[in-house]
Amino acid sequence: MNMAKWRSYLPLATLILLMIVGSLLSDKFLTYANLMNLLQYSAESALIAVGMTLVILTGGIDLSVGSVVALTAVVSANTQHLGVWGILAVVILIGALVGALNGVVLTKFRVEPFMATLATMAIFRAVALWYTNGGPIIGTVTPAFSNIANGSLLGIPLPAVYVVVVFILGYFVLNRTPFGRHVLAVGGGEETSRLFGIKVERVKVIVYIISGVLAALAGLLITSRIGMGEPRSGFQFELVAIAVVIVGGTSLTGGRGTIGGSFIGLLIFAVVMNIMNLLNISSFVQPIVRGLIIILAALAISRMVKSKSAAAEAS
Amino acid sequence: METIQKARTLLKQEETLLLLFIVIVTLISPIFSPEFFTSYNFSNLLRQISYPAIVSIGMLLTVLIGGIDLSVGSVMQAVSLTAIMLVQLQAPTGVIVIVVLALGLFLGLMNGMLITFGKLQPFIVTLGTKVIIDGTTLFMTKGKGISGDASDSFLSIGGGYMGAIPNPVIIMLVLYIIGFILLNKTIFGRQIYSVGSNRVAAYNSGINVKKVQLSVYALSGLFAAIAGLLIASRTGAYQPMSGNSGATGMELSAIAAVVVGGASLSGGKGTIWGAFLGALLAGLLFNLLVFLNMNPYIQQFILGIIILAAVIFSASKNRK
Amino acid sequence: MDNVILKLDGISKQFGNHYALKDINVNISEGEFHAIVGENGAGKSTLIKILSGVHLPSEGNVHFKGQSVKFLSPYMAQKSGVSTLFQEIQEIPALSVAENIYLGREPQKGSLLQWKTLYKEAGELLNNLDIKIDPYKKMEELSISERKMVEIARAVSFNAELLIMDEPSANLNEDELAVLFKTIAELRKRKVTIIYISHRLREIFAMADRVTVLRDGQHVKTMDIKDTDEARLVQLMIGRELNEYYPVNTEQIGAKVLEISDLNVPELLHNVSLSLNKREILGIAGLAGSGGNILTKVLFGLVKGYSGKMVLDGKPFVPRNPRQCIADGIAFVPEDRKTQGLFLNLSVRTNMSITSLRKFRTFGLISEPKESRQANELVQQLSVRPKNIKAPIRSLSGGNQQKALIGRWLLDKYKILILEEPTRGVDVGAKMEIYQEINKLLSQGLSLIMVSSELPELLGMCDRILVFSGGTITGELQRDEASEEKIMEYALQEVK
Repeated sequence: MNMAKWRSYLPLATLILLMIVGSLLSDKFLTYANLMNLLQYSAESALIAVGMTLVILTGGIDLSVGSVVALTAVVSANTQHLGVWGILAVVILIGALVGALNGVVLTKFRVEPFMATLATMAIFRAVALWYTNGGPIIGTVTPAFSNIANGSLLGIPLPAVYVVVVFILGYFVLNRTPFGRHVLAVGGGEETSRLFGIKVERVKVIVYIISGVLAALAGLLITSRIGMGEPRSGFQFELVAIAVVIVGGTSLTGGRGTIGGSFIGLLIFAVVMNIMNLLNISSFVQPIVRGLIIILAALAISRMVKSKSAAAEAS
Repeated sequence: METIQKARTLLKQEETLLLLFIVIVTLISPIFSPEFFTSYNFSNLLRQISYPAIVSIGMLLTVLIGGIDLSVGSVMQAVSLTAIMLVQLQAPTGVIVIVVLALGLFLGLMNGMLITFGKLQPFIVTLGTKVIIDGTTLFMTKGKGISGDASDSFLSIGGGYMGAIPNPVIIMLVLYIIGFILLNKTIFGRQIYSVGSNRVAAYNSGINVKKVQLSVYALSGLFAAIAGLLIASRTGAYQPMSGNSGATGMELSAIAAVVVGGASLSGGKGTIWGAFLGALLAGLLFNLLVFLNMNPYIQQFILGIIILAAVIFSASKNRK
Repeated sequence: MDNVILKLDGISKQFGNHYALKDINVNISEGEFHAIVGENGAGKSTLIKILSGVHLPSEGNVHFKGQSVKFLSPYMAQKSGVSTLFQEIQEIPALSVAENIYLGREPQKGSLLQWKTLYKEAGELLNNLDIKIDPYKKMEELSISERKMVEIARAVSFNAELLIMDEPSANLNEDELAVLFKTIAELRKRKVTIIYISHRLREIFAMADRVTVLRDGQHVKTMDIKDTDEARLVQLMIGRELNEYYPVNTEQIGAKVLEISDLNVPELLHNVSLSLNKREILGIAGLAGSGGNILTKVLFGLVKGYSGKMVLDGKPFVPRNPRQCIADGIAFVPEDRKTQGLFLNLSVRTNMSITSLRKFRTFGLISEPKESRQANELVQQLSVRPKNIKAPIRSLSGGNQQKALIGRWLLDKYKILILEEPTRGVDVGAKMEIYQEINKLLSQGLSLIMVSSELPELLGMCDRILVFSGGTITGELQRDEASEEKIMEYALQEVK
């Protein structure tokens, strides 16, 4: 038990260690500018990771988020005439629709989540590419729209603000609403939850809608940041988000994990990438590191969960 | 009366249904393309189909034990690249073949070990190794294609013909026959079905579940490597691919073939014959889409829809 | 005993063309403690599933508080005042006690969860019931009995008027039992009606007002507990003379096959020594968790970390895993055939041949004609129905599945066959056929170890019975001296 308790601090300890390593390797690391930079460029990952945390807590997975990003990235570039709020409305609607599609497919037809969202991943990406015929949408972005990702509030870059806001909201939903408890319950035991009168299917669909909407917002954010609608954006975002969630200590089997953990996971990820950038490590190496982090984190977590279920298995 | 009964049960089998689809697609294809039935087009088409079809054998094995291998397309590309790099080093063809097949086995074994000894979910492991392999490939090439001065013997592996039939097609057929024997006539095959049907019962029946699992993922890597070698030796060059022929497209095609062929993603159910027909049908359909001069993105879209429909169909059937 | 709270009016439940329950008529009065007894397969669990809303009856009506009710889910039943404690504890292990109690009904203001209220209410509830559990603790940190208490508290929080308890005392030790009984007493003070299912007749005689006996899905009798005693209750449960049901082992018992000395498994088995002879049926009895099935799992290589000496057929025997144990001559029919034994979607033939495939090989490949011939012979011999060896085994009835599973071990030569709960969930006709088959195995020179929670079965079949309690053998009974009373006496013996 003590061991397990100790292990739950592992992500935080890793983060602190990485911060120390980072500050030793580069004197630019622990500067306000760099840290803000680090936070600001994590905004898309943060949005997706919060949704992914909720999805994984129900015992599911959403592989389609990266493609949803691409979809809304191009749509928001092409709907600039609607104004910022109009675009926002369209993007949220798209996110909700694709999320609902995922949710309905895997609850109504009981398809395994990873399979259902793998298929929709292919579909959404194809739609995004089809929509622009493969190329980016350039030169449409208005200054007001551009300001969403490039503006600042009291000297803090707006994306950094979004990171904090989305995690606070996620924490709030998970820990301060009955719905949050039901998310954990569904992941902890579907049949039991049903027995307890929880509408399991509804909880799942809502969770995928949340994930879809947050991914959709991430797509909007990217277009605002880079000033064009790129149908190839969001590639492998689902992996980053999964890695962030796993690194943060959430179990892939559902029912165990925290939003705070995912926040730490996000920072760990961002710090590693940031250190690699500061050390001028080739961007071609970064995907390899990303994959390694996923597998190492999955291994670490499976060890943790195993120690807990070992007693149950023996009986 | 009895014949009707027989016809009914035959119709209920998805293999029959698949064959029917295949015949229909074959028959309507010439409407859109007059040269469909020319021998040149036909052998070309079969060659195109052979790569995903070979990968599908390995995918079927992993799906049969209740797993999945999302890294096959990446293994394929890594193998293609390695083969061409060896060509640049002017390695003898025999050495190239052995090295790249060993590489495929090794990568598959890595997946197997992580899943078996790390007790991790197959999809997350193979997704992780996929990213690592893709990343390494990208790192080596910086995203550019490479080519070498390949020997004739190397080029003849994937580019050669036996009579009028391209080598890859022959190799595909041989591999399917081997796969058929493996799954239906050997103890190992029975063990694969047993492990997929019920792991605990398999263990209690004296089956070395870990060994079966490791072998299956190693074989999946091997089949992907064979496909990769065939592609590399056809052109003598490595081209980073995208879309349907890219890594992700290859995984999706293989999954589609296996699921359309009637395999259940929860394991223990599926046939090699079904996977073959699934791969054939998927290939013919794409061919048709190309004839229709359809935008490649619409093709991708249709691939996604086919997979989604197939998994929904398979899930709803298994619930009964 | 006047206000009828629950009236079962001609309840029947059919699965396929098999009646799991037939025409059950029982009235249960408000505040009554009503016990339901019967052998395994008598229909108790089907009845519970109907009352709790898992199943709907095929025929008949359930009247609750004077109204005909149709519970479509356990939650609906619970809201109407009927709560059920299933054998399996219903919980979300990673959530706290309070969260589990109020899951799905969290106190909220607007859409906000009121944490303080949640823990305060849970604390008060537990306090009122005199249950000493910290509501902040996670379920997974609690013992089995504590988790059961939380379930009871949850039922009470629903204002349960009728509480159904299915084997609540299984897996509990003496101290934990005391806690359970205290809570039950508290419930009775609150005039909660209780339907109580238990194998432990002693508990029933200590607490029940009335008892209903079920047998083979039929309602045998309902009576005041005062008007009966244990012996008569057992008689009613079994309902037939033992000797007409069980074949007698007429084989000559031979020399020693297996000798175990001082077998220990930390916390599970202590100093177990025994021997098994050729052509003998050795029974293992004991309450759940007493260690009997740990012994058999050691013998089949499923338990690691044991110590002790074992000799099989004159050679040292060190079980490491099922593969090696099978090779050494141990065959094993597990207690839960669906999860531990069968490949449900595979054919009857594959299910039977899986352990002996080597025998059917020619030039390294499996010869299907050979395999099918042997499988067909077995299906004949064991009268497995239907006789189609290519049918998926899922399509067979429980009894036929079990026969096929036993058949798996008849395709090759083994020394010892371990049978865990050989007739669990098997209907009466198939039961008798299985007993006949088991007996025939002896003539092939096999020795049998049979673990069963059905005492009549052990008494009827076994040449010798070992009784386990607290992880050790507390008694050994020869066939002619064994009785249910003696077994229970040993089984309840406390071990320090």
